[in-house]
Amino acid sequence: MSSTTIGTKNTNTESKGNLVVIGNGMVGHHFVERAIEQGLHEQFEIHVFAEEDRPAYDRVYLSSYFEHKDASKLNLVDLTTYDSSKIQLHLNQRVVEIDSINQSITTQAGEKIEYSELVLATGSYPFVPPIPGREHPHCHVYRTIADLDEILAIAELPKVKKGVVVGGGLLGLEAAKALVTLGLDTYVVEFAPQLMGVQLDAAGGEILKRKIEALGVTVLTGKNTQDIVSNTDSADSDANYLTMQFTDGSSLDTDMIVFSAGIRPQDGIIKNNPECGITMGARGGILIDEQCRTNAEHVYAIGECAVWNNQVFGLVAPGYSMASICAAQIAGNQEQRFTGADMSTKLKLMGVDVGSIGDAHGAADNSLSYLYQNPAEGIYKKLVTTANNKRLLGAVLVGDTEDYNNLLQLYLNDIDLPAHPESLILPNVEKPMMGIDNLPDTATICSCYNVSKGAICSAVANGAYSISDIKTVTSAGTGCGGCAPMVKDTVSYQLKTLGFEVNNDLCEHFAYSRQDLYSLIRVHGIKTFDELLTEHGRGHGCEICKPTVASILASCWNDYVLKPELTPLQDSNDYYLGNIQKDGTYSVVPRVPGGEITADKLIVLGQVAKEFNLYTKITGGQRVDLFGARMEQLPDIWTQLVQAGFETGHAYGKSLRTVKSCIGNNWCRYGVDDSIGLALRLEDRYKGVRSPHKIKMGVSGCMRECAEAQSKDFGMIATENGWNLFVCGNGGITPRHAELFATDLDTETLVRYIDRIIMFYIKTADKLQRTSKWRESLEGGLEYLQAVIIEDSLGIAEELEAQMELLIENYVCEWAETINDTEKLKRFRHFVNSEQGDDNVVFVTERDQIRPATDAEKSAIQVVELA
Amino acid sequence: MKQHTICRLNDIIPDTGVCALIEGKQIAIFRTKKNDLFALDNYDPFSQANVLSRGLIGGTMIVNETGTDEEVLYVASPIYKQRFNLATGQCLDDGNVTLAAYHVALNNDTVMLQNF
Ligand code: SRM
Ligand SMILES: Cc1cc2nc3c(=O)[nH]c(=O)nc-3n(C[C@H](O)[C@H](O)[C@H](O)COP(=O)(O)OP(=O)(O)OC[C@H]3O[C@@H](n4cnc5c(N)ncnc54)[C@H](O)[C@@H]3O)c2cc1C
Ligand code: SF4
Ligand code: FES
Repeated sequence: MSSTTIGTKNTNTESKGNLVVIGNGMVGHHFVERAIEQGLHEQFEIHVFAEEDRPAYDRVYLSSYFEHKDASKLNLVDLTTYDSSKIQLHLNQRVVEIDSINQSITTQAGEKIEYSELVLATGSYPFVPPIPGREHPHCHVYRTIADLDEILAIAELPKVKKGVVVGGGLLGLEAAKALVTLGLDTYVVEFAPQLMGVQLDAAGGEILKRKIEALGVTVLTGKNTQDIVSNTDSADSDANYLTMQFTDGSSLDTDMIVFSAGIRPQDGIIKNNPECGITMGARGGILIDEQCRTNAEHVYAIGECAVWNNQVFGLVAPGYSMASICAAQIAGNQEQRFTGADMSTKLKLMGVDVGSIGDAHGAADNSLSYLYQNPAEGIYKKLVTTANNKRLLGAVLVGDTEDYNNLLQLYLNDIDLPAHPESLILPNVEKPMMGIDNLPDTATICSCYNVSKGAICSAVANGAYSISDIKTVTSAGTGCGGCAPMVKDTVSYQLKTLGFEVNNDLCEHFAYSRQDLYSLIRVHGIKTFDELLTEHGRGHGCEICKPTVASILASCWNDYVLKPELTPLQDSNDYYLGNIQKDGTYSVVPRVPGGEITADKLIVLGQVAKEFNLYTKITGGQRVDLFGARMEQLPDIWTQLVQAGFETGHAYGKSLRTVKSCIGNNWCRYGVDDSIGLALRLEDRYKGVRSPHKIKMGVSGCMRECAEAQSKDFGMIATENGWNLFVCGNGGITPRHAELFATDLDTETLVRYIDRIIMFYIKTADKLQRTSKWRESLEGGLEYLQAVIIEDSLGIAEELEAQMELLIENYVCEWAETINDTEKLKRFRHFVNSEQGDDNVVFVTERDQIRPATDAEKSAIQVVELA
Repeated sequence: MKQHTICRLNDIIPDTGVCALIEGKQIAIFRTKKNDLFALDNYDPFSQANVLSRGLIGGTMIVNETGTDEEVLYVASPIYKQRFNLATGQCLDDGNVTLAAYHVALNNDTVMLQNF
């Protein structure tokens, strides 16, 4: 392939000569950005030589290429910036020689160019063990987009069914995941007795192995490959392409092999030209000092090709630090030094959380190890501390990395450990968390961009008050994103320190929190938005305060939500009593309490769906969703449903959704109580109660828990002596198991407790806060909630119950009310001045049902109509 | 340039919108609490659905050219919540997007689209 040069010659320099960069990988590119920042492009003519045929891309996310196959998604280089800064990027031009005496380099094409400053950023290459047969075209490495293209091409051959990754380290497992994604029967072959030997100890490696095997990957540890035999000449056409023979006499057939057995610094230019005089490390790599200088004058090395203090850093963050330091050096600022990097890592490997901090193996003399192991859930955690158990030296986390950030801060900042270090990794105990205030200013909050607590705090002090400002100013949180929660806490902490009140205002129209507005509305008996706005707000209102206030008004008085003065407040779903879909049509979800439904009612659902040509699906909440209803069809659909005895299911409202139930003791041989009976009673009682967020319940007839009650806001499980009540569970984005709130309750007490908890939640929760987040925000935790609800420690129990009674009394089925009101029905037309429907709503048929047409399908359909 | 009769003022609940079909085009007409009227395209370019008449109307303070505070009224799309200035059609969340805005007025009790 021929080489290309992008960018124009820089004629405006102060003519300090050429600044030459070899390698346009992640670190080489980062260097160019820092160089521009330092104004080096105005002093030097910058030349970047790249061996690959494309500008730098994000190797860290390389594997995502198998999902989107779009190289541009990985691109890191904004060519217009290179161009406007007069950077000349020479793609596909490997540098083959350095002459450090005459200060010049020579490219593969024979071109020679002189340099004033030279930066080596040649990265590393995958190590392939010298096994005979490894040259077979089905043997590959995993480093560049070109490698991935070749792997893809092989995987797509019809006969290729099976793939082996040699190497069970971090990258090997990532490659294995990729082979799984490609649909191959995947094996991992590791020479060492365990997976991820660098980061994990033996026990952690074993748990990881089991978890990965559960995902269908076969892991062979302690296997040394002796030979790779090609079977292409075999008479049997079904045979696999390759056979791997191991030293223990066993063998493994496969169709392709990906080597991921570690990396080696790319030091070829120096190794092949010893006369260049640049010193290499004992085990390869280019030796550098704290200023990233090699022993040759004006020659620097950064990134994975560099060796500092006998170490190669195979992560991008230390490479970025070197790039910044090197750019500063060349610009004449010699203060910054590279003093090593922390190699702790947290990542998800094939869906398994893995974290490793510091001395994971407990190698330090006299160190102590604390272990926690939960084989049922596949969780393993280990702490390594100093002999006096005062300092954390390292940690291993497999299966659960929630404690990672906390532990990393303790480790990096040498903070005294609490009295019982094991409490840091034990589940279900109040953990001593590292508050931001306890961290020193030097504590690294974002390791991707090496941003300290101090840097974030001073950015806040200089006016970057929002997370997005902080991202722009410091880059914190813009890499892997793992530090986002800590960045947010740091900003809040600093705002508080600076004397700002951390703003809990609902929006620009109300300088009150949701809780404050709730009290105002209750205490002053406010019934409309405008009343509240005039008395306690300003301006017009917006899409945040209007639905919030609508919800509070409904939680207090339960008036019909489509009263004229309430209509304009409703969120789009409440506005038409249905969930709006992507094409502007609506879904229809009738209530099916407890999931129990008669044959007649099922038939009605079928008939309605058929008559109006709706898509039907059983929901995750034990009922039926009818999709694709045009707004103007909703009244007719609901008229039929209401006639058949259905009520609205409030799938659109922030209110009770479903009470999921198992079949219970009427039928089930294990059932100890009537779960359906309780579910019906609860669904009937709380239907239509508007709350800060949706509420879901579940009732199981025995502890086998078929209704998954413990994942709901309220879960009831029958016992021999009554009901166990679990509260504040959640599925969704952040699942949380419900906690056991009270045991063996009789039904009346149970209902009373739920009444109280729901009203207390409505009274005190923030907007759009599910019960799980609310419960976590309650100071005093579960015990506090139990005290308020069971012991009535605030003396409000009676009031809460009375408020709930009022809501229950005022319940109306919103659809039954709406279809009987001709004024209301006027709104259910697409056009105010025509009976037509929206011609942009177009369906196609898939699996015998409708679905919205895609744009391409729509234009195809239109073409047919025109023709 | 033609005038079009759309509906009676009372056909629009204050602080909400309706959609009108004018010469085959879908126009969202909004009535504010103060009975001011606005008209924009009904097509939401972000969701590619004809839904803007069903959005919530909101207001936000901006500093105008003369340096004084002014409340801009907008409609928030019911699908992905992008906001559009009712008077100009300018999207407040993406400077590159502007909807067509139309002139709409009240003639006695009748809502009229003008200069269409
Ligand atoms: C239809 C259904 C999926 C299905 O086909 O099974 C569904 C569909 C929607 N879900 Fe769901 N969810 C459905 C069961 C669930 C479940 C399972 C369950 O309830 O057991 C969950 C996890 C359990 C939980 O909520 O704790 C679930 C977690 C969510 C979430 C995340 C909530 C969270 O706290 O993280 C959202 C987003 C939100 O509410 O903000 C959501 C939001 C939505 C919305 C309303 C999104 C939207 O605004 O358009 C979907 C439209 C529904 C419609 O048009 O009718 N849906 N959704 C299920 C309806 C159940 C029902 O009968 O009402
Ligand atoms: C699959 C995968 C996943 C990874 N995941 C992570 C992760 O999660 N976190 C993390 O921190 N790191 C990760 N890494 C490592 C990270 O990608 C590297 O640390 C980073 O790319 C190093 O940057 P570099 O510029 O030093 O080297 P490279 O990105 O390798 O760039 C070096 C460039 O120099 C070129 N070059 C070499 N010799 C010459 C020459 N003589 N002339 C011209 N050009 C030359 C090469 O072709 C290459 O393009 C991952 C790596 C891989 C492969
Ligand atoms: S939870 Fe118990 S009663 Fe209910 S179906 Fe399962 S086994 Fe039967
Ligand atoms: S730690 Fe990765 S973005 Fe901050």
